[in-house]
Amino acid sequence: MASAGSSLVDRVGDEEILTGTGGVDGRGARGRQSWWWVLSLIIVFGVWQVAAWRYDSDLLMPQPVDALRALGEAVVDPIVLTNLGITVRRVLIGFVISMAIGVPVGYLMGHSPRVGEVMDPLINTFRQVPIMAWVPLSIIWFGLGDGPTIFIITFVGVFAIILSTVAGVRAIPIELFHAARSMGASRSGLFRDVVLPATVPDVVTGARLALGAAWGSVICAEFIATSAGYGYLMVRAQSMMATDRLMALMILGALVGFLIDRGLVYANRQLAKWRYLT
Amino acid sequence: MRLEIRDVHKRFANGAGDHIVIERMDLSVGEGEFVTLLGPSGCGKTTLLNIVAGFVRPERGTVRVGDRPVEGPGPDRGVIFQDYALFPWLTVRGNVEYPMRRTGIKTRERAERLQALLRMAHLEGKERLYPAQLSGGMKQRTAVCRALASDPQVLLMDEPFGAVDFQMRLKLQEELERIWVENRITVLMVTHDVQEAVYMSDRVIVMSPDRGRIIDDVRIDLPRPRERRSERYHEYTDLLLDRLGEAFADARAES
Repeated sequence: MASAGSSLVDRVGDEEILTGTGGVDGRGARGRQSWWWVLSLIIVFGVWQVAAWRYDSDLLMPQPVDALRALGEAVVDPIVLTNLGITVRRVLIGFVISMAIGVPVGYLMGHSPRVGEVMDPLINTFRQVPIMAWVPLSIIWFGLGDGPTIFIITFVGVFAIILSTVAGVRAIPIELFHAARSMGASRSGLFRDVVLPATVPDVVTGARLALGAAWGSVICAEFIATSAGYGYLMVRAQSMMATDRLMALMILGALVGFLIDRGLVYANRQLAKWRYLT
Repeated sequence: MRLEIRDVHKRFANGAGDHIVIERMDLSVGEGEFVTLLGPSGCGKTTLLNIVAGFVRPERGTVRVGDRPVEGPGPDRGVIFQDYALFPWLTVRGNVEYPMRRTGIKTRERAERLQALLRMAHLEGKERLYPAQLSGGMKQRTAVCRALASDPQVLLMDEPFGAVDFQMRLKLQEELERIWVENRITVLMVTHDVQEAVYMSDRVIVMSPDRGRIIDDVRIDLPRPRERRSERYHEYTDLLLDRLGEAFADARAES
């Protein structure tokens, strides 16, 4: 289980390297990368445009221009912003709860092999249930509205946080504990002096994975379990056959997810500068 | 401070059953003496060092630093680890100050001692760098500063030059020898490098993989700093190589 967790972590780590802290030729690499960005956007919009001409139906495949215009309208539409706010609030509450559970559990599991052995199978079992399969049960438990969505966000995030924290604690070389002890740290001081600083990057990585998964699943949960929020707004656009608005909302959803992720990358850089030195 | 190892036993359980690593080990290191444990891997030299450091508990026997029995790790014994074990999230300054903070040295004195240590190790101006930004040699010297920062009575070193290339190793040996001559602290070092043992030590203890038996206890009677090309230096090297040969013969008998 730990290996599955660390492979996730590694993937995020690799991406971190790809987006570049910049080595000697960091600027060049970053410049080249932004060109690839432009190219891929051109391809996506090009294919979209061709498809729109081909099908010639605003319902099936609206013109990119129409979708972009709808996007322009959406970002100033108070209804969109209110519902986006509702969803972001749910995500933040669920995220805080999943951190409050996941980080301490992760430290306990990483610290004590016995706790790890007990929790591993539990976590692995629950993790296998597809997250959306929890939606009907969560509606029975919490009714419609905030309850089931926050439950889903918490649930989907907590595993990423636990796995990442456990992997971080287990990866600390024993010599660092020995060193701290031999320099006068008490047993209880090891957590503050070694475990905490050593695992900051892993905890933030877990937070990043959790927020990404939360943002992905909350909208889906809102299709079913609520009558407000971003997902609900998308269902409404769909039922009104406003495909251009639907696509605009998808693009806006991607942008918000992207911004959340960048925010956490930035937080990680600030909190664990030592990991990103060249 | 004197270091006394009396009647120490240590065994490890492995797949094949119990393995006796050290049996009835007696060893004294005099005040200000530099003693090296030399032997092939698996002879228990690192285990013995870890017992003295307090990281590993022996089944029987005692280790004393001065009059105080060792009951766990502590700042009276500075340790230099094989891979340095610097805290990667702290700068050079943070690393060297860490033991001073833990042992409650005041801010003013901390700053002074930090500067004195960095000057001694030629690390002035590197305070703000993180370990990842340091060369192997600078990491090693930072580790030396950190181990000396709490003003320990004994310095323990586990293959302190293992992780640097040959040229750098010679240079660091000379530097560490100079630092040791200035401080005259009691040292117990572990190595498998005969040259290093002769260059650094007052006494070399050759250990066998057969229950950590002491094969020989050789006093290196050469003036410091030592001349690596001198004839007597080579005599000591040859003698220790012979003794190591015996240790390896024991290793074959073991397996």
